[in-house]
Amino acid sequence: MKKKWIISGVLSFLIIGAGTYLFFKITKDIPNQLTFTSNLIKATDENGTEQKVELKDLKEIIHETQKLVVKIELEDGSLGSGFLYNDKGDVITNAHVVANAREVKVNTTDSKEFTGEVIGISNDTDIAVVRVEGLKEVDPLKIARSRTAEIGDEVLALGSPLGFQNTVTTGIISGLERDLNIDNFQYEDVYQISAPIAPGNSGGPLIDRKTGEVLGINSAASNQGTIGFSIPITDVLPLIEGWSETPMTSLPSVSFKTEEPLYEGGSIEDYAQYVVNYFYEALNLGDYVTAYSLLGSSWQSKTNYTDFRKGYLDTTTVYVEEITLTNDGDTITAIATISADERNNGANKNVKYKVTYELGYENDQLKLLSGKGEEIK
Amino acid sequence: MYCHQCGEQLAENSHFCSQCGAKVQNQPKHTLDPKNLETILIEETAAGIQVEQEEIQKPIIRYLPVLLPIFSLIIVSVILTAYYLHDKNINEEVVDLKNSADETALAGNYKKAKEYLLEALTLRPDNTVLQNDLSAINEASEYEQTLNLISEQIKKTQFSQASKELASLKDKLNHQNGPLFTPFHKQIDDKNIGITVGTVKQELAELNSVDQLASKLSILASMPKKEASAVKEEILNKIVQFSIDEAEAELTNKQYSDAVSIIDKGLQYAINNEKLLSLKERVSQEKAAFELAEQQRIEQAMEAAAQEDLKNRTAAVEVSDFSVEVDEYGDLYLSGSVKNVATKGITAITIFYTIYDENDEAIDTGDASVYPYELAPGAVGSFEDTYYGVHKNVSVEIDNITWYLN
Repeated sequence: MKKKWIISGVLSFLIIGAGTYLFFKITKDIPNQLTFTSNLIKATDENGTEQKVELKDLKEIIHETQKLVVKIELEDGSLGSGFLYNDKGDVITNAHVVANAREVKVNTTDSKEFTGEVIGISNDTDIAVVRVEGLKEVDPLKIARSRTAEIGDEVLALGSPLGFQNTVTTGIISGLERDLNIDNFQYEDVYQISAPIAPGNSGGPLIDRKTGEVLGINSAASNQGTIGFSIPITDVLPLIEGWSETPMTSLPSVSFKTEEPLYEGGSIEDYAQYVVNYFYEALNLGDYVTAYSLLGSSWQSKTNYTDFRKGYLDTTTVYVEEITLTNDGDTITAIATISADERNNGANKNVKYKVTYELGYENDQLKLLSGKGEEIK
Repeated sequence: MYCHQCGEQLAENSHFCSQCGAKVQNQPKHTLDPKNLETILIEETAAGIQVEQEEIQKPIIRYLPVLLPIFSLIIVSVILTAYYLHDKNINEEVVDLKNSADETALAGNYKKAKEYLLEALTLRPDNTVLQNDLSAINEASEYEQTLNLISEQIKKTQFSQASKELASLKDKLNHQNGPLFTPFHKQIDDKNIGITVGTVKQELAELNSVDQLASKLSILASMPKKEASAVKEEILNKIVQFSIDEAEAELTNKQYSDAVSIIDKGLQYAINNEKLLSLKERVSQEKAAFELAEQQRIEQAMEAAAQEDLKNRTAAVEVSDFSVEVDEYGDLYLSGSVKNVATKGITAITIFYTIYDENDEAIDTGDASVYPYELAPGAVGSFEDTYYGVHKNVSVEIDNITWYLN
């Protein structure tokens, strides 16, 4: 009898125990059966999202790029390079390569010859766009739109230096943010590269050795050492794309030769002094026409030659004793002391004048714009 | 007697009901009181101890040790099943709540989503997914507020503050991933466009050179057309205006090539702009006119200089007071004065003359030198000469005068 009770008790106890255990297990497990994951957030996986830049083989890059680099030839025989950048057949090159030309000859590496039309050109940034109908729908070079080069980036410069087509030079970006001024073109914040740029290489692409993308437009070289300069493509892309979208109907004339001044070297003040002296020398020599031609247009309009000549009828010799010049920005004021021998009733008399001239450029020539003088007594 | 369990009539002295097998309780007071019976049963199960009945009801006591575990099992099973189902239900409810929260959160209603999630969390407080979702939604709603603030700032054209806020928001968002935050990236881009375009627009008034304007154009080039086009248009108009103003200033200074290069620079950006093109045309016309006028003035000067030179060479001397006299001895005296009407001094003036008789037959020729040797412009000199023995009425004519120009 007792034994029965013990077994019963133990069994009941076990059952209740098991029940309690299960109860807690349920309490614990059922919430865990909520195996949903968040639809709102994702665990950040920083390493996974990093995109690996695909490293391309150098030869592959060269091969793929070369097809899209062209040689540009002008009627006068001057050469340059360029590269295709969109599917409209637009070729980017340097302004100095296609300066003052509307039609140019474009040669591809597979020896096809096309005629290209300059549809955009700048007169202060050394870039231009040539549209080549024959290169329409051809896959263009990839442009590094959002990335700029850094010092030490390995680069390739492609082009036709000295007319040798398909020339590749390698180098690195050796400097950033260089400012130069060559032949009236402003080069601001350009890349300095260790690859030499020879004439004819101008306008060719600067290629990222790793991705094959265009980083810049090779534009200028120093004649000492192997240094080249390349215009960052991102700086000029808006301009270039504007031209591709709306081709220019009339092209600006690009003067990239600095004008040879009459007076070599020196500042504008020196040049002004030269002009004043030249004026008096001409008077001294009796070459009044030359002297008159140095006057500005409004002075000439007010005073005709005959009146001008009358002013010097009694003057036998005249020379500049002393001159001081001040630069007023647009114009230069020259104050000079003039010593003149004048005839006075048959007798020669020396008279000194203080003259003040205003000199300024008019139609690109430095002229005496106005002048006045008074006798020093 | 009846069974207290099912109400079946029972045989006398039977210990169990023939219908339901329940133990027959022979206590009359108990049969009438089922409440009491229940109490006893509960006592049995709860404690497993029966004291009273053991003494009173032998057969029940005999079976109790068997019944006790069975009842325990049944009750435990019932409770567990009920609890299990209840908990399962809660799970389902939580899943539903979460789905609603997801839906509303993705729709952007963070407040509602938060309510759903809080409700779910009261049911399942330890669920980390729910907790994370809640904190994510809190962050999202915070971001939304920041974005609203930024919008407000953009509206008030406080772009630098807006841009600062946006940068920090962007920074925060960089650490967040998932569909909840995806819309923010787009919104940030939109706001960024708004700020950039707005800033450019704001700065526009202070820009006073084509270069500055062009750099703003570069900034706008990366913006989508729709937002940027109005400002772009404005910049281009300004570039055109500046170019025209500058070019016209150069035009006034007669610096034509400078004017053209200014116009060309403007045309780089305002491609094919008609105003600029027509101004360029005007500049080239004015330049041609200027050069023509200048050339004409110089030509006139050269002509005048040539005439002067010709006069100096051919008509430098004017003769006045020329008199001829024959005295009583038949000798001819001639004299006169000359004036240098040239613009240069002249020297060695010689007067050549011929003497004619009454019949206009030339008798002889002669020459006379002017004194002084050199005559300055406007100066007067004189000459005289004597011819002996004409003895007639004669006339004298000057044929030629020669001189040297200094």
